Amino acid sequence: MSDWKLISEATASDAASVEFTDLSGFKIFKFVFIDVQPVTDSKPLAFQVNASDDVGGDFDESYITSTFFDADHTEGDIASGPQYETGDDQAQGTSYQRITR
Amino acid sequence: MPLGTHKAALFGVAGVSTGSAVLLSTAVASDDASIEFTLPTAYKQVVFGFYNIVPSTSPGDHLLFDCSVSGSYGTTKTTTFFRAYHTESDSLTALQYVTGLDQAQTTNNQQLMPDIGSGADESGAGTLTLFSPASTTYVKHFYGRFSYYYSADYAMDVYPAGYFNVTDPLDGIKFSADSGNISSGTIKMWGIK
Repeated sequence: MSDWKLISEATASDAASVEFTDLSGFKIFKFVFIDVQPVTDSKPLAFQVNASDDVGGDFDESYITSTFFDADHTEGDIASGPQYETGDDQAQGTSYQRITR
Repeated sequence: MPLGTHKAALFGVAGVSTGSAVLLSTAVASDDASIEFTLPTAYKQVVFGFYNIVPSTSPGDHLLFDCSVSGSYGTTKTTTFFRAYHTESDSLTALQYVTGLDQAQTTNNQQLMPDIGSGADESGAGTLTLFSPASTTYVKHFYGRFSYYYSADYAMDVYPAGYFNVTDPLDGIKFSADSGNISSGTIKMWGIK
């Protein structure tokens, strides 16, 4: 962990998206999300990458095959999971990948 | 080659920055009822590393934690807890939510590693991450991942997570065993910028 290097920091303020560029020079990138709050309640946070051969730069051509599972517990003490969420994974999809739901 | 040659590289040096992660404190347990750290205010992410945690109670005991507000523990929290396990005898496996180990707006200590074995070669290890403990706006999120020797001879892999449901800053964190003491082990606290 001592070799981690802080490369960039973004603070959202009613932003439609937050973008980072120049994902080079390192073999592992770790993104940390702190006190992220959507404008609209219950809207998922999602991400996509833009490959260098996507000349349009629209973040819409990178195929993702992914998994998604979670466990839930309400303040009212209703628990569920761990469960696989088929609606939140992708099989060679180009959509933004959900990281919350 | 003696360990001392690489000790700093392996374990870090308290207060010395090596990139974005700063080792803030190291505690070595020696039959202690609890281990407590003062939480930093300058970091939005605080990571705790647990190394060879062994309880004093035989055949095992739980490692628990809580955070304080203005010095007082018993902070309200809502949490989840699920786990995977596999016995050494290959007789049992599971991936399951454990309702008895979560909390719904209660103030108990939160389970991190239930029933760590205390045998001669048994211990627990893992990490716990706490976000924005000094926030005055949001609840305080945490998640952990632990792998340990369950006292009934299981490999146990657990995932506690949740939030302290307070907007006041958290100023302390305390780790304790349930019925006895923490016999041995090391806990390190890192601040991530």
